[in-house]
Amino acid sequence: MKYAWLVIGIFAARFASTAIAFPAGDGDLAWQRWLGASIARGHAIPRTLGSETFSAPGAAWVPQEWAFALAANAARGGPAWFLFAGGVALAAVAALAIAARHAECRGASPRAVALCTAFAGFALFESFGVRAQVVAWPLVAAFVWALEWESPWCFAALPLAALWSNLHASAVLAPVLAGIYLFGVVLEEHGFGPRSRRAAWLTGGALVAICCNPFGWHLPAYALSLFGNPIKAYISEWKVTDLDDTSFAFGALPLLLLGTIYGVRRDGRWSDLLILAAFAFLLLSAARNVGLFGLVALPLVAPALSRRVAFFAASPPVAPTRADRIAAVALPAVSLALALAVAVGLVRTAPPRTGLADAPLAALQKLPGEHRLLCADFAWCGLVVGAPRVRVFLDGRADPYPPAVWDDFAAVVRVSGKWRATLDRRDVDAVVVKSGAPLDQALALERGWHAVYADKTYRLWLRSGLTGRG
Amino acid sequence: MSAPVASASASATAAGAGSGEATVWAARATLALVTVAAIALRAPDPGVWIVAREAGARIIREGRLPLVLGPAVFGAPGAWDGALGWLGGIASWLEGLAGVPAATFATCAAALLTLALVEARARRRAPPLAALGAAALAALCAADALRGGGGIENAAFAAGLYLLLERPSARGVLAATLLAVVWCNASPEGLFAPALAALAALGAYLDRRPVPERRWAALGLGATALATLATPAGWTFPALAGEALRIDRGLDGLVPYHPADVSAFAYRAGFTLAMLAALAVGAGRLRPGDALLWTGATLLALANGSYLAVFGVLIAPLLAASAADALDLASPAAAPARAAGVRTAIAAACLACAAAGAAGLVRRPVPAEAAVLAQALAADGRDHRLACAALDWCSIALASGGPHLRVYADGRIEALPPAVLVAARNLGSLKGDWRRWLRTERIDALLVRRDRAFATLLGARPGWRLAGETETLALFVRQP
Repeated sequence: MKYAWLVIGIFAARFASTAIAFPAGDGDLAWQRWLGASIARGHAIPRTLGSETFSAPGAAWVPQEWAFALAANAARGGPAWFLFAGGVALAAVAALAIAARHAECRGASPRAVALCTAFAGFALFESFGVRAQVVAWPLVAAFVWALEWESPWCFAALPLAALWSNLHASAVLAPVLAGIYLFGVVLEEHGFGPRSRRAAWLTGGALVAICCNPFGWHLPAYALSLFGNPIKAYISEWKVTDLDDTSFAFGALPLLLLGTIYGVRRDGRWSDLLILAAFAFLLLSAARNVGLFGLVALPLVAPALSRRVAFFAASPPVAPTRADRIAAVALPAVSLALALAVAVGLVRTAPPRTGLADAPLAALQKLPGEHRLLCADFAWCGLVVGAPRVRVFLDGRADPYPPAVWDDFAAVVRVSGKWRATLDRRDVDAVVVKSGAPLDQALALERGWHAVYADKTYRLWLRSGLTGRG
Repeated sequence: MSAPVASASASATAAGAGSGEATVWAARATLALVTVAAIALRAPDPGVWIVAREAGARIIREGRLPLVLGPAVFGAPGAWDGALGWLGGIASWLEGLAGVPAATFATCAAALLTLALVEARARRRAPPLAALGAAALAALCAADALRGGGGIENAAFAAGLYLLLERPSARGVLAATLLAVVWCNASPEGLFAPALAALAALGAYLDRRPVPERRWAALGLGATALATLATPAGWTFPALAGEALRIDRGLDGLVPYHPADVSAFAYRAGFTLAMLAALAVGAGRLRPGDALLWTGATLLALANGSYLAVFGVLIAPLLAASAADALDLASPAAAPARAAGVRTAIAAACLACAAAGAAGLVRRPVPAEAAVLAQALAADGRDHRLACAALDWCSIALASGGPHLRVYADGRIEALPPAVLVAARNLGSLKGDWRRWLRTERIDALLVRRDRAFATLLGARPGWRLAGETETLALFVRQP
């Protein structure tokens, strides 16, 4: 780990800067804060979309991010925000550290661990933000590690899975991972041996554990329904992974290449191979899985690299010298100090303006009357979820909206032949769009619409004859 | 790195005999039949077919090579193109004389030759059934290329060249050089020849092959590099061909290259399967040279999905060798069970190829629609200046629209100046003052997707009318 700590320190600084200096860089945070406030106010988690949307009020909703939303609401500004955002950055760092330590315990050399940790860190880059899924990352890394423990401590995976299910719906991966591990162990033992029996208990236990949340079995059902949901076609993070994705090109792909060149199966261990193959399949299927692949691949690829390449070979164990003992404490300390220094520096700096459509949305809220708003990027509308007198067509909650809403959204944003009729049918009376975008050009040609706000980036269009309803 | 498999050929031969020649031949025949069926059931790719045939016809008609873009491309008339792919154009023209069956026959021959070359290369290091498995994997990776104009010829060139240069000799280098000359004149992908030779030479050095082999490999690199100059483009070939490969990420929005878009089936089935198999057996662990080849081929496939077939032929023998080593396929005791596994894998690959063939049957290719609309535009006998939302559509329009049709830019991106590429991108994404630009360039016809903003915006403006539409495309013309 000695080199890996330095790598982790660099990534910690980067994650801290992203989390603290760009707090509103993710439009989801706004609606999650609104959700947290709703839960705190009503002492209940909403299970349907409410009147904050006009396209699908009453649609079933599993707000999987409820715990994160409560924390986000409690940390709206000041020191609480720094603690909260810093905590999210710390979760990403912890995930890297757990995966790196896992690799070391599997026999990877310090050089191999450092290299693979760097790649895994790059793999996390694009997915990182103050988001619920980031908080789940250390749980993924820890769960994968716990599966391997040859002692009763392996059942620590079950509370991890339960905790995971309260943070993010990706917890559905826990029983899948355990099941794949079970299958691998059965192959290794040529039958149902003691390890298989323990893995079977883990699989069953994980199935129960991921239901230990306010939604019960609805959470895994919801997560599974996403796989066949047509709305994925409209969400960028579900697109097929490509070289254009920085995190893939410089993080996950090198790990995948190392894994495919040297192979990860050793000593007849099928479980390693099956777990990595499953995540490789997910990696090649959708860009959103790049980070998860990095965390799972690190402990499996680094040992393979150590076994196969002389430069990365692990040294024979020797008694630690005084320098080693000092380094074992000093390197993590330097790493932490580096990250803290960057974070403190950022705290003292005014946050820069973000690229979100907050200005046109603020302008809309100042207009009298009620508004039925469509945002050309649905994530922008997350900023006004729950705002008085504004109801949104579609926002960053995304999943609960029915496919028909998404079809209509695509028709309008892509300015297909029925875009105008769709706006009329849905009774949309306000549109926020990037200046010069095709929809902006189309609205400019319409007599029934006029721009009420414009800056260098955005334009707010309102139906003519309306300054708002009511 | 573990040591190379000692006496692999001998044990492979023994295992091959054990598994039964009849089984091998039956599996081989099945794979060949499925491959031929997949090609025969799918119409040639109209885009490549029409464009290449017309390019060849023009060379024959004019009796000279088109070294520059003609006035028909009014955005960049006189731009140096070096007559890239002129030999391929003449071959397509010759095929065109005999009609679609000739194209299908030629494609079948190229595909079967490719698979045979892959198997031959795999046989050097793996037992017969594993080698046949390599051919099946290569076929799966080439699933989207198994049609006339699908690019399987490039896979054949790559397979042949690497077969010659992997264990280089005097004759091998000579043959590889000739092959490289033909390849470079047949298509811009000939640029892969020196790249593959470089990988082979570096691999020979890293693998610590015998000194004569290393020298021949280095000579092969030099000879294939020189071969790239033996084209009408001369010393400009590497730069032009490098652009024509369409691996530059700056071309996003102008031409398709994402693997999931251009070779969806091969990416999801062949590429993914190859990756998963490599995780199991380690495709590059036997020799450092293998690791190099694996890395280069993977990056190429991800850079442009059109080269998944090339990826398949390069990496399949590596996987066969690694699988044979990791699973001890050469062991007589393990032969029956392992051979059953390989047979199952081959059967699965055949089924997948059949599925790919069926998928190709129901897909209505956009290029054919572009040709229909271009002919409709040209039917009035007047001169037209056309621009397209995708450059390749303009290539097809130019090839099928007759002498009265001129286009702003077409799919020969290697010849287009940066300003033309920027203008084409701005038009495709409706950025900037594209209406003014249309007036400035005196463009009077536009070919666009009918379900996108472009068509809606044109339809909403006075001065343009819908002149024709197909399932996917719409043709707008400026009203007089």
